[in-house]
Amino acid sequence: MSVPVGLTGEWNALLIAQLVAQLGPVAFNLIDELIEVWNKPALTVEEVKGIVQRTRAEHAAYIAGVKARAAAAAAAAEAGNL
Amino acid sequence: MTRIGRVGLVGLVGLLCLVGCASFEGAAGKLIGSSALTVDAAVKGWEAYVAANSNNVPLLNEIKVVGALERFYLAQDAAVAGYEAAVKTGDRQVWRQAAAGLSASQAEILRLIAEFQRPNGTNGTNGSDGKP
Repeated sequence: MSVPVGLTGEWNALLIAQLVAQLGPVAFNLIDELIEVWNKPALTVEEVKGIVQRTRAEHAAYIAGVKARAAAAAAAAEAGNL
Repeated sequence: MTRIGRVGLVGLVGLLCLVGCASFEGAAGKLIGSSALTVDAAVKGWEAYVAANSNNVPLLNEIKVVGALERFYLAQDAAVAGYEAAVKTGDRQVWRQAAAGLSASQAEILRLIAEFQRPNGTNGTNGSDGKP
């Protein structure tokens, strides 16, 4: 794992510990992805849009599921009030 | 430790920017990309938490997280548009405002997810009924 420009090993260890404490095991994958991003000289607009689309697609099903359950709960509450 | 973790997460993008930026395009693109990846990881963690505690997570909390995620997406759209406009025209005013909005919405969703996973947080153990 390479080190982002300007980050010392001490800072990396602290940030990694904080991320793992906060996010759990998914932090390890996040750290690799952040290092990959920050080791590039720049991200073009198209590269940024690609990351945005990919990360949104990961949660589309969860968002739809929560909305469906919320709608069902609201309908059930309405039926209970009739 | 949770508070330190939150501060670390919220400050991560800014810290990386401070120490690693060589140009506007380098900084702006990486800011948006890092923000997207960080929130993505946090929401994946939240989804795993919900799956593991499905009987104890109020629906209201999930609705709040989804609402914060959709507000983050709106801020993300504005940031991408601001970045694109700055690259094309050189005017960074829109980008500056959008970047501030992106940071704020990222902080909001990270705070909510951390709060709802705390043992004594609003995870259904303190009177929250979980109804929308």
